[in-house]
Amino acid sequence: MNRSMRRRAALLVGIVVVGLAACAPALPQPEPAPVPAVAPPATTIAQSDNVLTDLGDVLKAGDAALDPTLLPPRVSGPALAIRSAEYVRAKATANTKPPIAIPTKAQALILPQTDTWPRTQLVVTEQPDDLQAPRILVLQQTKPRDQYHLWGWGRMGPSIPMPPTAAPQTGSAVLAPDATGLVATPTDTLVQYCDVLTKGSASPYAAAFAPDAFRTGVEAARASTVSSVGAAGTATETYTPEPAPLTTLATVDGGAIVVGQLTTVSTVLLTPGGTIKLDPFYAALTGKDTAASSFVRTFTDVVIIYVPPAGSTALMQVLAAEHAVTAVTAD
Amino acid sequence: MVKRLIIAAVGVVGLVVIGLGVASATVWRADDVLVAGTAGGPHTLVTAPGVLELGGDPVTVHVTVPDKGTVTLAIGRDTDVEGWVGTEAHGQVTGLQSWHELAVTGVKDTTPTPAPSASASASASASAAAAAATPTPSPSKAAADVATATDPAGSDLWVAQATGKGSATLEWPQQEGRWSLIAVSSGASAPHLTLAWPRVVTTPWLWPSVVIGLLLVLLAGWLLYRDIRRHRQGLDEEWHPVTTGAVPTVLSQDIEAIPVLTRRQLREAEAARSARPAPRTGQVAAVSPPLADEQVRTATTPVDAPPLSRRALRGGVSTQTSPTGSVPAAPVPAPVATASAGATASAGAWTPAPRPAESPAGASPSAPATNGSAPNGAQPAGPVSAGPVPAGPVPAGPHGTDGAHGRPSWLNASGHAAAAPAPAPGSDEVGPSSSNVTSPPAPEGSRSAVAASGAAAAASDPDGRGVGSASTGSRTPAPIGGSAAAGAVAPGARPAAGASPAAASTPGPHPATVRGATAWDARTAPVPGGSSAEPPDPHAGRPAWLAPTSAGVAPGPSAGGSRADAWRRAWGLPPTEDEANPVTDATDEKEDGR
Repeated sequence: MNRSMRRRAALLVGIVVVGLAACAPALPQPEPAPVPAVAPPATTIAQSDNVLTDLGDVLKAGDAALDPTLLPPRVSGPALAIRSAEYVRAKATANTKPPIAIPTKAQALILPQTDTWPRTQLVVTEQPDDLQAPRILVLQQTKPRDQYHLWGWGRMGPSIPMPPTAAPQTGSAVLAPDATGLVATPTDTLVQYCDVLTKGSASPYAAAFAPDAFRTGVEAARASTVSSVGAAGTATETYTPEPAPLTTLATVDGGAIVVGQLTTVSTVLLTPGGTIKLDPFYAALTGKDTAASSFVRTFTDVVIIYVPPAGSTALMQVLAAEHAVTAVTAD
Repeated sequence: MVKRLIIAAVGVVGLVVIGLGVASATVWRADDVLVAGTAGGPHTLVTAPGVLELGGDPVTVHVTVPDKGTVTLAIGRDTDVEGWVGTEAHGQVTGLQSWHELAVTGVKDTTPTPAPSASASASASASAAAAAATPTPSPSKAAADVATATDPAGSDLWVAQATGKGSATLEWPQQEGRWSLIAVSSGASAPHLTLAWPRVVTTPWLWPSVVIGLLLVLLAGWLLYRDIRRHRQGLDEEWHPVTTGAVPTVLSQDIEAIPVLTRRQLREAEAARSARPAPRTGQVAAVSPPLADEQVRTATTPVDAPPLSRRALRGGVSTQTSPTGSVPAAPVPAPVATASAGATASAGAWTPAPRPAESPAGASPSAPATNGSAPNGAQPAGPVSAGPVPAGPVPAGPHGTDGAHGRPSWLNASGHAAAAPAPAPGSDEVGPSSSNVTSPPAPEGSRSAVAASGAAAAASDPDGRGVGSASTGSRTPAPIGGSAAAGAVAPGARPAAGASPAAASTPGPHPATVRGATAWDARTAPVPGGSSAEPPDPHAGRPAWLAPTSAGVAPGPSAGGSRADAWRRAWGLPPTEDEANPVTDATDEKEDGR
């Protein structure tokens, strides 16, 4: 009896324990969403807005003080160089030539689909107060612990339509510099464009590029320089692209937007005896009022070019560009 | 008591169930918030994707550091957090260790550059020395952590962040995607991280329990109510019947003969009563006057009211005393009168002349006749009928029979033999109920019918007829005989009923009761027989109306004598008691046979 009773009791207890244990809810386990096949956009719209707001504050502070040292927290690369030069110019000209306006309110966001660094996104801003063309801001985050910086900006040409791009919630694919499937690889695009800038219509690639205000302006400035130098010397300009574009973001139509940096060096060699009186801006940059033998201006250019997909009859189009003197030497 | 206990138990169970249900929704209700935390560990904590959504929607992250250092909470995409943390040593929260503890996996510093670690260890040695006596490795580690714990606050990577001194709190509504939390203490101490999720706490047992409990309680209440109600009503209903009074009296006399009426019998009696009322009376009344002599008339006058006689029958039963009492009186002075009255009545009803002849003759003949008709019952019947008849004639025999006869005569006069019997039952029932003769007859009739109206009544009829035929061939007697038979029965019944009352007065009633009993049981027969002599009282009771004086014997004779006398006088025949007895027996037997 005792044994059987004990056994029964033990069995009963066991059953009860097991039953209670079975009733106890299991510990919840993390059930993360699956890793997406395509990386999500690098930032959310809110994050981009925050970045832009922060950038606006920084620019506002720098512009107010015309102090380029205030810019580094949010401005870097060509943008920092150009902005610094503009501050110099503004100071030299008693603010008659103020820094160009850079709106920081986004009209459109072109966000990269990436989870690596550096990350670059484009922001099409609203029109500035003077109703100039909108700017395309290039924001770059080089490292995880770095902030997004304004790497550069371009002033959109008049009446130039933006290619269709993916919504910011989706993000745009990031293409490699040598990505195929385009009329030209991103790297080649910059090379070809430089060639066109250099040779004009003589360039074999001239036909591939739609006319744009940037090239027109560069050519006009070059012509002006040449004419102003006249027989007093020679004026030459070279256009050199960076080895690789900063970034290339795909567009919805299969094309891409290539962001690149060019360096334009405008060299004026004066024949002996000739002098060039430098304007205040250059004077400020060089510390000299005149140039007797050579006058070299280095332009930092930011170009944002739309490259249609391969097989398309569309032309490559410079969407926006900035061309600004960032360094001057005079002898 | 057991029933009540069970009911109470049901109610208690219901209350308990309700209580349990309520408790499940209150006291035992699960926590609304699931809180899990970490203790100690690295300065940088990172949650794996999915951990933030592990326990519910929104998660509330709280981090504290004991030294009031700066702590930062930030949430970003898992890749961003990973990117930000990089190769630093940190703790990764991978889930729940238990319900209140987070599982933390340490991730060592994978920084390839040795330089920082070296410097860290260098600085660490100092801090370590001060901080703890632990061996170099751990201090260096801690130092490394401290050294590399960069405050992530303000990074563009974060979607949400919070920074505080000593503590910080961040609420994170669930969002699509893979999100990670990074908690960094840039101070000297490790952060204590807690994650809290609201839990959807359901109370599935509340309402079912309450409903079931209420049902149980209601059930218990209903049962209790019903039980109580039954207890109250049950007694009232069960004990209402009037029979109670009658029964005990009867019992007192004869244990064996218990003329307890069944409800059905009562019902039937009622029906019978209601069935026939006035006619008899009218007839009787009419009858009595003519036959009665002056004395008889005088007697009759009282008798005139046949109803009275019936009452007497019933009342005889119930109020017999008076009748009985009267009976005795009647016998002596007015035996003749009563008899004459009865005779007159009967005669009046039918015809005086024939009866006398019949009654005397009829009595004896009736017996034979009945015999012929019904072997068992025949004799009894015969006797009964005869008894009654003779009883009527013979004072002694008549006791019961006489009364019966008298009644029967009325009844007969009224019509049905059944009527005759009716009085008896009626008397039983009626006796108590009222003095109305009518009512008694009904029962009797019913009884007679039940008993075997065919047998008894028929027998009686036949008897009567036979008697009639035997005696004079006139039917009048027959009816009388029948009535007598019935009456005999009736008397018995009456006596039975009335017996109680009568009992006190005289033994006569007993016999009567016996008869009545017999009528029902048929056993009484002997008794009646024995008591038959006494029965006269009841009979007398009827006559009693007339004569209040002595009871018992007198009435019997009187009653029996009244009729018999009337007849015999009319016909010049001497009264015979012998017949009376046989008659009673016969009646009993008849009834028995029934």
